[in-house]
Amino acid sequence: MNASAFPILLVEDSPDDALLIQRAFRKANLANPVQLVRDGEEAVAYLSGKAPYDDRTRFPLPVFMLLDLKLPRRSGLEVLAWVRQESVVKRLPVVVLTSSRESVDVNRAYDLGVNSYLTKPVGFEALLEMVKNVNLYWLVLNEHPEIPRG
Amino acid sequence: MQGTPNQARVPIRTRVNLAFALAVGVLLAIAAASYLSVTSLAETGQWIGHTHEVLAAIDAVAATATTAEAGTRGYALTGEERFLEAYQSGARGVDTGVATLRRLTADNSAEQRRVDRLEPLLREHLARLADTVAIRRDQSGAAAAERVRAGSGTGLAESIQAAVEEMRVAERTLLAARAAASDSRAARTRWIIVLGSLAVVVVTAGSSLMISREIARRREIDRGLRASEARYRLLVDRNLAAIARTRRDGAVLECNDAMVRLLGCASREEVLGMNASDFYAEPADRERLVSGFAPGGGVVDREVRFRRKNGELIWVSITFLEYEDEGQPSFEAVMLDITDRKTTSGRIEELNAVLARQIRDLAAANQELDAFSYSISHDLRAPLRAMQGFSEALLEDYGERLDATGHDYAQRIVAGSRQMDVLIQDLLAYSRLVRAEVNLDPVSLETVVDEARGALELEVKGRGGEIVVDRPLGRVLAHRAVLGQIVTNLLANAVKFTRPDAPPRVRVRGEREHGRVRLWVEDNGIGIAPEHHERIFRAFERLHGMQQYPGTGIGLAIVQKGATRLGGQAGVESEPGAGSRFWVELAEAEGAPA
Repeated sequence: MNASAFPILLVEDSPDDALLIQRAFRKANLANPVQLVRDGEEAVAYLSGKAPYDDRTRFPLPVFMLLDLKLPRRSGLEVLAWVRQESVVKRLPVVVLTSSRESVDVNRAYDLGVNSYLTKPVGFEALLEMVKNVNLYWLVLNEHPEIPRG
Repeated sequence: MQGTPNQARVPIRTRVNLAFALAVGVLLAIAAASYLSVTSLAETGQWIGHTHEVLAAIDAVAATATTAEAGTRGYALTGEERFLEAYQSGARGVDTGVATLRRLTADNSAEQRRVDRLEPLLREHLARLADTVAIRRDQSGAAAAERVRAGSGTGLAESIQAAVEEMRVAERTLLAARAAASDSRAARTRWIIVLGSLAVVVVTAGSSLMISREIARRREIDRGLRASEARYRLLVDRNLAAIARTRRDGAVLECNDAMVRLLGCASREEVLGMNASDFYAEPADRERLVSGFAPGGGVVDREVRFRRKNGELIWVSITFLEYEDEGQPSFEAVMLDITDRKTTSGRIEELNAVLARQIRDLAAANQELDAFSYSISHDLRAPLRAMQGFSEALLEDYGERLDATGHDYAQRIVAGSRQMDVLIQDLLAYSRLVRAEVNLDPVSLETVVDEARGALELEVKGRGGEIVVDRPLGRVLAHRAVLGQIVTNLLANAVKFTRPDAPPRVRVRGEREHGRVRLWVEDNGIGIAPEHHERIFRAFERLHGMQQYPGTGIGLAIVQKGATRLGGQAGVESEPGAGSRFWVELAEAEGAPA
């Protein structure tokens, strides 16, 4: 399986943060495309292949998901809970990338089975550093679980 | 009273009755035995008399035979008629004697047989005598004398004598046997009388002992009852609780002084003259209480309102007990004035309600604070990231189109947003510390200090300074993360406020005293004037400008709040120019392995 063919799903409602993160991915010269969705419901729709994401050739299942917690309509934790009980994508690596360092959020995310929890740094250099590390770890070093891509 | 189980089971009345029945029985037995014995003695006496009669009859027969022989001899020798008469009367006497003997021994077959043997002998004897008399009368005296001589040689007289003697011996033997039987019966009767009397004495003595014991026991019970009654009286009379005994209709039969005081009456007589319903604020209350008993009585415990004589209403705790007295339902009531308790508990309830409301308000406020911090943590930093991120992007992507002033402005946006981010982070840390639940466990001070020192090592080395730790530091009761934050802040503080000419030299040491451990962080920095020693621990208090010593003013506030949360204290000793000695004091972890 060629991991670089599949996108990274970025779930982020703040256009500023989305722009900065996408720029950081660009600067890090990532092979994988970044697919952006703006809220929790869109994320669920994308992962379950519902319209407008019902075309799996255009919207293939991601190699991993970067998930903000504070999202409109459906929170990041709800998306995480949904993913973990869903039969197709339950093994999808999920990395929370959010501003909260509250232990309530951190612990709850781990309780729900998150793979990693990162806080958004202020300052672009720090963000770029983080994105590079995420890339190295989750796309290069990490062994990918099998996800049925029917 | 002690007693064998058997004694305990048989009632004393039954036991006494049994004893008397036994005594009467023994007396009856003695009387019967005596009666039988006397009867038997009389009978024996008759038999002895009879035996003597028989003996006399035997003697009479023997005597008549002798008389007849003597007469015959005299006649044979003299021929005188008067001897012939003696013979004739002797011969008649033999007949009547034998008849008498037969009659007297009719019940004795052995004697009858002996009489049968004797009679022929006597007949022959008489026949010989008759022969001799005939010879004398018809022939001569000489022939008759000859006949007498010849007759005495036949041994007939000896045979008669022997037979008579045999009868005599038999009768005497019989006599002796009867006397002996009579004697032994008399002896038995004597024993019966002696032993029977003894038995009567024993039984009577036993019963008397039993009765006197029973009397003593009853006296003991009586004494116990009297003592119990006296105790009961004392208990009722002197009891601080009011006690009253009433009838179903409310008649007051008895009451104690406490009852008089409870109602505010003058005397017991006054209370006894009242109806129990009058005690109650609502007279119907008593009816409700009294009719509240289940069939068969029981105990009812209630709190009711009483009206005192002066009209004052009081709260009374009343315990009602129903029982049967002379066939009427009666009530024993114990009452306590609980007015004070009632009013106090009412006030306590009020205060509790206020407290509960305040706790609810506080919880709501806390929840809002949580939501507020959460929102700050998420939302306030997002625009900062945008400001900083895009300023940097601007510098990077469009840097060549900006002049020096443009670069400076962009740099200031970056610096400002960075400063604000630090501020927000510190504020969040402080608020987390205030709200977090803190559990105390044994924590090694050295581990915590080493971690904090490690984080500062590069900076300190770069400036040519050092942090020295005097080991060991000991173990304290703390929350690991909070203690880590306290120590980090203290070390960062010590390294930060240095004199421009002197590299930081920091010494960390521990002091143990009275179960507490005081951790000292001593620096060679600028020092603090005594008037500022308190201020520096307040949030946002700063002594220096941003240019000189940048910071948020929250670090030491976190130290002090953290120490308080861990049940300890923090403070400082310092003079300007002489360095500062910050300390934090916590409870020592006792008995925990070092």
